[in-house]
Amino acid sequence: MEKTNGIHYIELSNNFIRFDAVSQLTNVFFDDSNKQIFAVRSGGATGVVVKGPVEDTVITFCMSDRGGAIRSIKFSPDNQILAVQRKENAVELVCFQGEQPLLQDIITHQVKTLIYGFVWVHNRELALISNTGVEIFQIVPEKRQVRSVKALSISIKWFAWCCDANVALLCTNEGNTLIPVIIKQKVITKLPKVDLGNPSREVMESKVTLGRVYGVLAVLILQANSNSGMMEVEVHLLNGPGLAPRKCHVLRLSLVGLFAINTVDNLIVVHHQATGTSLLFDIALRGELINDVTYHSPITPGRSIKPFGLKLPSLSPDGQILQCELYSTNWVLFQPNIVIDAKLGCMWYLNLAIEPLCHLISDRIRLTEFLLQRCSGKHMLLKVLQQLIDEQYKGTLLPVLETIFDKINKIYASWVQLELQSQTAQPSNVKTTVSKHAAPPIVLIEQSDMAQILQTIAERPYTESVLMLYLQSLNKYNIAAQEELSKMIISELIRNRSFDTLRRLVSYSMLQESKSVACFLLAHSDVNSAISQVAIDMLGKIQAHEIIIEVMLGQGKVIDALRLAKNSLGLDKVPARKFLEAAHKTQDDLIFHSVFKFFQMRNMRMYETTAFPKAEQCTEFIQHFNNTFSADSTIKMQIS
Amino acid sequence: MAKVLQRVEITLRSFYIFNSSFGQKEGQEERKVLFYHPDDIELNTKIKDVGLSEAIITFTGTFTNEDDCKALHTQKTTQLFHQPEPGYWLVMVLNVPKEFRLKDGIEVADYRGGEVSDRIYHAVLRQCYQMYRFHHGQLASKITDTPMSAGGEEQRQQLASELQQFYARYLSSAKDLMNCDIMDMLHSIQYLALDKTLFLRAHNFNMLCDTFPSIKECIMLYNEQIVCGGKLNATDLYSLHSYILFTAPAVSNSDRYRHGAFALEDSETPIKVFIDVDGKIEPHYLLVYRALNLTLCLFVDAKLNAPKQEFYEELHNYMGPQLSCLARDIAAEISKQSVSSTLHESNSQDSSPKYLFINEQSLKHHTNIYRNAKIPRNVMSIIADLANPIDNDSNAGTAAPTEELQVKTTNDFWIVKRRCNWRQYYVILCKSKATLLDVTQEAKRIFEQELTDDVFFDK
Repeated sequence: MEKTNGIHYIELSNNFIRFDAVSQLTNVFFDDSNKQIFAVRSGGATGVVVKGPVEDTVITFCMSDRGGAIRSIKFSPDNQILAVQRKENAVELVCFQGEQPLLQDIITHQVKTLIYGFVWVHNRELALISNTGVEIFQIVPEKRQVRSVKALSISIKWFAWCCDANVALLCTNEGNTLIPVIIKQKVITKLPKVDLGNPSREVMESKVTLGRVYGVLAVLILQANSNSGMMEVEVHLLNGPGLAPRKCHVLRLSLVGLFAINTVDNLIVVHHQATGTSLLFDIALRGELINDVTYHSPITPGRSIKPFGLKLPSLSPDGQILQCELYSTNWVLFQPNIVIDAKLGCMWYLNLAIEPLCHLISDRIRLTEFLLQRCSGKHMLLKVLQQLIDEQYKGTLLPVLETIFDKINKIYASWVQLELQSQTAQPSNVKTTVSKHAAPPIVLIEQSDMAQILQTIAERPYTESVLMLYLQSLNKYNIAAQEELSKMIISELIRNRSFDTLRRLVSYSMLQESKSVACFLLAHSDVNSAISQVAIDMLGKIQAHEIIIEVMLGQGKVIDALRLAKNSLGLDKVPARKFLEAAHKTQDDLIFHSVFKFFQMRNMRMYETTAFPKAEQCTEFIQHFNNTFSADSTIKMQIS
Repeated sequence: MAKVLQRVEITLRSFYIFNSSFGQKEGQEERKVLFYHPDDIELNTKIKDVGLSEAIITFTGTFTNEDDCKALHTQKTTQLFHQPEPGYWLVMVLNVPKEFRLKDGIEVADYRGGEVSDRIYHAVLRQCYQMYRFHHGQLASKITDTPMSAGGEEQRQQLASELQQFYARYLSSAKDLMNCDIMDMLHSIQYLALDKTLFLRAHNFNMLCDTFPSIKECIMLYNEQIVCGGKLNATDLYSLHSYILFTAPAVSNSDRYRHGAFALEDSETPIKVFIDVDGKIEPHYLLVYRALNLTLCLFVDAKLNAPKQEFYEELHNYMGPQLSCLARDIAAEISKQSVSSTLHESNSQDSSPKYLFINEQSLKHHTNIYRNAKIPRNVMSIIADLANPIDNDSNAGTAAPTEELQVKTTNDFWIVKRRCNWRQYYVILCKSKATLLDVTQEAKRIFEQELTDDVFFDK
């Protein structure tokens, strides 16, 4: 059954858990709530080893075999009470002190009904699901008491439990309906039933999987298509009004046989035992829409799980490697992504191998959509983008890039918006509810990330087009360009001599307006005077008058600078020495005279004398003035 | 003052192009004349006119550079000289406007030479050359042989017939000289004011050039206004703009362009135009595509074969839907703008202030001069005299100084000019009893109200 066709998009995790394999003496149980695996030897008498959720956490203890094979065994969430079911109408509760059971204090809770199973809903609360309904019990170990807290009476055929969402799906005896029920501490909430379309339709327990996809509980039902006979998975999402389940998606498997379902990173993985392949479905991707139900095909044709070599414990250093049988009949799958081989004594988590998967999706837009929903997608998406604008670049790809940018920025914009809302101070009369700190999107590609990628294609013929497309997309979602991006756009526009575009971007305020960006522009003003115009425009917009004054002084336009300084700083704050020095440098007597006279008049106004205060250190310029415009030379000038 | 009986406006007396190097030998003087308008004139007169111009140019050349001869005023005419390429001179002779008055019972002609603004008409002359260059390339590029040789003579004749063909059509369709004004002088263009999202969409339509590598440049116009000028330099853009305006009425068949179509002339090959690419004048095929009110001018490298029918179809399929969608969005945006602006202008009268803003760098203007009543000629001439010549090469690096000027004309108009950061701003007010203070305040109000897109920090 081993197929090594190169690319595998699903793999078994390396951090697996080994446990004692099932044998005549040993029974193995798995609690999917705590992700603990119980290896029970001789009914517990010779020891119970509890491992999970990782290899290192191990609890070992012994307990007496009290008759009757163990049907189910589960720790409370804090590992302080162990619930064991040996009989069909009783649950034993063993309190723990540290990691050892207090075997003298076993509480046996007996009911009159047939117990199908139990789940811990709280450290001291246990819900029993039996043929007559659901009942929550509170355990008070100090008093050795078990109190009924809440009960829901309903005739039940079988049930399924989803620990992530605290939801049980009950299959009732009357009418074969599937009813989701939320079981939480002290509360049982019945939800609207799953609409199966045909009232007489009977659903078997083995065909139903509960999972959580994109934060919504999904009831996945395997069934054969009435026309083709091929198997399909109906996806009922609990996202209707009042969490009512709605049939939203159908996954077309186009296969027959035995299937098992996992969810990995919001993908639905359907394993097919006969072909030894796993199909991937993403309900967030577009499919064929018929009567409000989306029909999906697998993202790519099915491929097998990556072969797994188990290193056997051995004394020799090279050891022996055992190739695990994939899709074995000994496999038991648990939600969301747990694979247990009971015979081998091994438990794995299923992981998505995202990089090989990317090679299988050739449509770049679909790939972007796909990666944007994967928790490890950011790195890959950036890599894909990098390739698109670098070695794979073609002019015809620009519309594709445009769509990809839009998809990325749509998410980015919603995040920026959320952050903005959380930052804005709330009015004091609004009760500061525990501000729900919104979770960031699964994949958030910010401007800084993009800037890093775009940096790598600097100074290519097409870079300007790519940057402008990205800017357009940002603008579409009302995100302002940051400094890094602004500077990159400026460099490219200058390099391509697209001064008109630069001018218009600045006049529309589409580039960041800051002193740093304006100075960046100024630094390039020797290329074309248009740039220095644009730079001064930007400085004017941000009212950075002091820089404009410096620029003007640098250009020798002392009078203009002085006028601006007077208007922006105020008459009393204009530094006399600086302007006199600049005027002196121009070697234009007229300018120097005007500037000098201006300050004399200012002195008159402020100090009631034409003399300069000592602190301004203008002696050398007073001297220069007196030398140049001494009484008789003034007359000469007037005559000439 | 005597009553004016009749007024004759400025008219074109003659227009000729010559190059002295073609007729160095005696008896071959007629070879210097490459083009002469009007054509139906004695050859001798033509030669004499050219000779006179040559003399004037040489004469002034002894005092200044040879290039500095710009204009000559006589009582009845104004002559303008322009040397676009070494040796090639364009001369335009204008009849100055005259007024006939009755003086002592006799009709006397009073020549108003002062009303002719050199700067405006010199710019008109310059544009005559630019349009030729836009369509046919540089004059000098046609003569590859030595001027006096047989091959050179053949090429000269060919050039002359080409000039004849071009200018006969150009001069007959050119704008009435009487109406030439500051806009013709500055060669500036009004851009379409768009919301930034639309601008970016329009601008990024340029990626057409990336998708179809044979397209070198892509210019978009909406009605008569430029949306995106691409990287075309201002002179070529102005020439293109005039060409599009000139051909537009002939093909304004709205039904045909609803879904976009190429505006093709009957001929199979598209017209060739010459544009300045990085300092070199190179030929390109000009394809004009229209969708609703949008006009897209595509420049295809003329070194390649002329585009075929398949190319047109491919392009049409690619951009037709996008462009018509963009055209509709722009139309919606403009109608939104015009609703708000009509509210604004409902109370405007003939005497309402006029303004003109010009960015010297982009040659982009923003004005309401053409709305309602026209501005008197003398005011226009004053603006033309005030306006700083726009010359991109000479003042690179240093910004022009800040200026502020207020002028009152004899007929009670006020002109306020400001110049700052490579921009010129004019406000024209018509108030007889206004004081300097009133004018300053009114001008300030208009600057603040109308100057929304550009920044004027020294308010």
